[in-house]
Amino acid sequence: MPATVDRRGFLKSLALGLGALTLGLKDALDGLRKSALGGFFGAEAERPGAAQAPKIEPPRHSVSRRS
Amino acid sequence: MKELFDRRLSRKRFLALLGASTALATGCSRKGRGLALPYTKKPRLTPGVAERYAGTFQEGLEAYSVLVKTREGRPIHIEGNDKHPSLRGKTSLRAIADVLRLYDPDRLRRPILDRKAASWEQAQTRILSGLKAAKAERKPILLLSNALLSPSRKALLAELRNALPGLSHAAWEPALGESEAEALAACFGDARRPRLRLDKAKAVVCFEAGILGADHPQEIAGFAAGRAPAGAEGPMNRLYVFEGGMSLAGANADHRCAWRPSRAAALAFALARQLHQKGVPLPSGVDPAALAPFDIDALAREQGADPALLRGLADDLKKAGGLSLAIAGPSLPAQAHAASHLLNYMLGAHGRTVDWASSTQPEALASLAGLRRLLSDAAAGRFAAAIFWGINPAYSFPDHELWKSAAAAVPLRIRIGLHVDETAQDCQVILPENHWLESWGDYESSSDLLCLQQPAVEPLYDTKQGEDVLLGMLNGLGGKAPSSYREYLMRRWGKGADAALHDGVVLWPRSAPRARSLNGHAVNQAAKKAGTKPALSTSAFELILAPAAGVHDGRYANSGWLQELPEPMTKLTWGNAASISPQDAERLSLENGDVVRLEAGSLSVAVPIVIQPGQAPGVLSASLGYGRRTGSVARGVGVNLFPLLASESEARLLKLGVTIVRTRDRRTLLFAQRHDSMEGRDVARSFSLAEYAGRKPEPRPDPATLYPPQKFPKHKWAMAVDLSACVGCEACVIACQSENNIPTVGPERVARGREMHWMRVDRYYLGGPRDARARFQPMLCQQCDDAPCETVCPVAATTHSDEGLNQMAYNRCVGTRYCQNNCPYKVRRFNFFEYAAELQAPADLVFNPEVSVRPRGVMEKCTFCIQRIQEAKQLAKAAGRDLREGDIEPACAAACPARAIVFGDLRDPSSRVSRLAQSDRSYRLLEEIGARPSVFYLFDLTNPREAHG
Repeated sequence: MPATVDRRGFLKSLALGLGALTLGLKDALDGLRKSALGGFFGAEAERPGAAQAPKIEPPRHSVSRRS
Repeated sequence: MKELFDRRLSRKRFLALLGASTALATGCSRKGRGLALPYTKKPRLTPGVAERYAGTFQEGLEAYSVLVKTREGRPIHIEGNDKHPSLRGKTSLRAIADVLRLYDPDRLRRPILDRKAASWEQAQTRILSGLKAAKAERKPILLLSNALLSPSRKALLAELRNALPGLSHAAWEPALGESEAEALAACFGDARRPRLRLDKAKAVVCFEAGILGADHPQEIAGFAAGRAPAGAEGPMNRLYVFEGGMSLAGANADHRCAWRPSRAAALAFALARQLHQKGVPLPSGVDPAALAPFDIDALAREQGADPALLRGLADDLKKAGGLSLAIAGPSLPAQAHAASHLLNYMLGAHGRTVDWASSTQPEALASLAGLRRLLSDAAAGRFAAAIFWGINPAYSFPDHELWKSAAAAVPLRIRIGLHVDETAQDCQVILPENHWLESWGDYESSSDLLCLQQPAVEPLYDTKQGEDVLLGMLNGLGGKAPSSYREYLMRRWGKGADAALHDGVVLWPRSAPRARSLNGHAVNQAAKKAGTKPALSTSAFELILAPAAGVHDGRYANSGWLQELPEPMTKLTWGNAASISPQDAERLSLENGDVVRLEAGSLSVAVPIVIQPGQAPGVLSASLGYGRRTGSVARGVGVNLFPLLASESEARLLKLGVTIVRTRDRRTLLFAQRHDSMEGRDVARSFSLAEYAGRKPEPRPDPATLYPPQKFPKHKWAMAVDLSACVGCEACVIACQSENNIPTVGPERVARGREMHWMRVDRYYLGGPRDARARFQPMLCQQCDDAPCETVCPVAATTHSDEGLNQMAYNRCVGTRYCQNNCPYKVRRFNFFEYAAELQAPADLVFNPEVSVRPRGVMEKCTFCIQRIQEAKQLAKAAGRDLREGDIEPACAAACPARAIVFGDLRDPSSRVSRLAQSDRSYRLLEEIGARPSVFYLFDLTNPREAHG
């Protein structure tokens, strides 16, 4: 390994490292918010069960105008 | 052949022969035909074919019978039920819009227990243990709901009350006035509401009564039917309106007077006195001396009105006799309602324009004071449990502190509702309720009619209707009721339910009108109250509060369609503001958007100001239903004015002595129409009957053209819009939005003028600030024959069909917007964004599959509902016949309660649209520019007294 570090390479690595750290932190915070702070008062509060897709079924007992 | 057997066959040739022989071998193979077996169980839906289910939309004390159109099982559009005897295919604007709430992404999808998702069993166990404990301890339970209006719901509640003797039920409608029922009970002994027959009335006087709002389709239809110059219905009706705020009724009146609402009762009594002086007898028990303080001339001077007009009104009422009608609005105090009853009684309107035959004993709604008592009891720890069904008191009950202490003091709080709203956030058990399109029910708003509700779709999520929850409670407490509300209803309905569900309504025989005698003493008392003149000062205002035209009392605030629907008079979207007269605004140096604090007693709310021409000086008016704290669409839009209801006043929705304190804040008001004047152009034409009678028909402008004449071999579609019938209610706007997948763009884009409505209702002001009048003009693509938009499109994306339609090929459009620029009517809309992609699932399920969802970067506009034209053609072809008049009805025409919009084939000279196009009232907009539109307007006619006296 060379004894000296290329300044340009060092700065590039630093920027990349900081970027990755920021993104990681953001993801971690998002995850925290969704799990610990989520639920009733968090983002899920507006749409509890947002993952539950609606099922569309025609009415079983209704009488349509065509019938 | 020689080459084939040649040893020197080239590789290329060999491969070609190999390919050809393989293809031949494959093509000639015999495919198995399979078996065509009939269904053992027929699928309940046929792809591509719409089903329609009759149903009922209930709101407060009104039930609107509707037809719900579904495609592939999804409800996508709502229209009025053609079998309803008086609405005849028309319905409320909010009923049409409420299909969107079915797919609201914010809807609750499963029960929540202590802020965690739970199963219905867990929730039921929790509720039953609470109820059983309360029953054992003999502690009462509170049930708060909106108006029930349903005989079966009432029966179910009675059974629940038997099983749970401590159950205390109160129905509350936060935005309904109380004084109407109060006056009916005082004047006639009970609160039966008569049906007002505007279709029969020839002289109508309204005191602060907004009878022409889109939630009054029956009244609009009746009024519009009497606006033809001369027809089977007899001479044209005449409408007088006295009001503080500017309503649609006032805008459509033949005579409108800006009038303080606190003096409306005095005016009605003054008219009664005037009639009495002209020889109309007073009902027995009414003391002529009680009417003595009401001098019509003095009142006219006080309010700045013309005394001759008021005297003329009295003459008109006397002349029309039993065909006259006086109506007091819900915001007015009981004495104004009593005075209206007196007028109707004196004029002999009972049994004619005031129809008691179908009146029913209305449900007793809790008063604000009554609800306050209940919540005070709750705060004192009286109730062991409280159930909040539909109602949202945490938002709409004006005393928020009392609500908080009541909620804190009730050990078990149960919420049955569609959303995690303000009330749900204060409850431990939150039960997701079905939307009404997933529910069963019956509603009785008049004694001769039962409107039935059946699901148009099975519940989308793990939800139950409120009645099923109550049945669960009943059976859990030892009751022997059916396990589902459907079974419960079937037991009550008995045989013939299928036929009734097909029609959606059950007609009972009309009872003979009962003679109603007016309590003279009650009228005398009311006159005594009305005689006290409130102190009028320039610094104190009268404030009229009313439910919003779109979001009503806030229950529809999470509907983007209704938030973006312009308020019919101010054209304000996405929020509310306090309307103030131009004179007061000038005096107080206020401009549109200035935020003021309205102070009523110790209460104060900050709200922006909108300057409203025609508003009475000293009067403010504002809409309730905004300022919600929950809902991804509703949250933070507008200002919640419910807290002001808590201030002391004679009528719940009218506050006197309100002061304005200016703040330094400003808010951007989002208007859908940014210019109110016709600038001298004769765009929305209007004539009085006298002017019409003396008018010589003008030759139609026929500008020279370089276009070759167009040929329409089969059909020439056209539309006629009768401006005399149109009241500007905007039902057409919502119906068009629902039918044609028109996106909601949101407040930021409305601020940039990027709203997408294909149909709008232009409102123009005329006259001065005090005597301002308004004209309305529905505006849509005029489907010009020589369309200026077509010639400028560089890619021929917009072209003309051989049926007279100006068509758009979305795939071809590159978004130059030249067509928008060249359209003289400004009806083309540009997709600046991919609006459909912005929708949260499952809101996209509301889309009509017959209409393309437009992508970003393309232009769009009204198509005359071409999908309906094509469908009607297919149906006619399948039936082996030609298209007939009435086969095609665009969504706007189908929704218009005034029947002002007529669509048809101009090539058929006997069609209604042909006859209307040839009418002496017909004109085309900006005809002089030679675009030859296919929309014909019939100019508005008014019937003022001067012209027809």
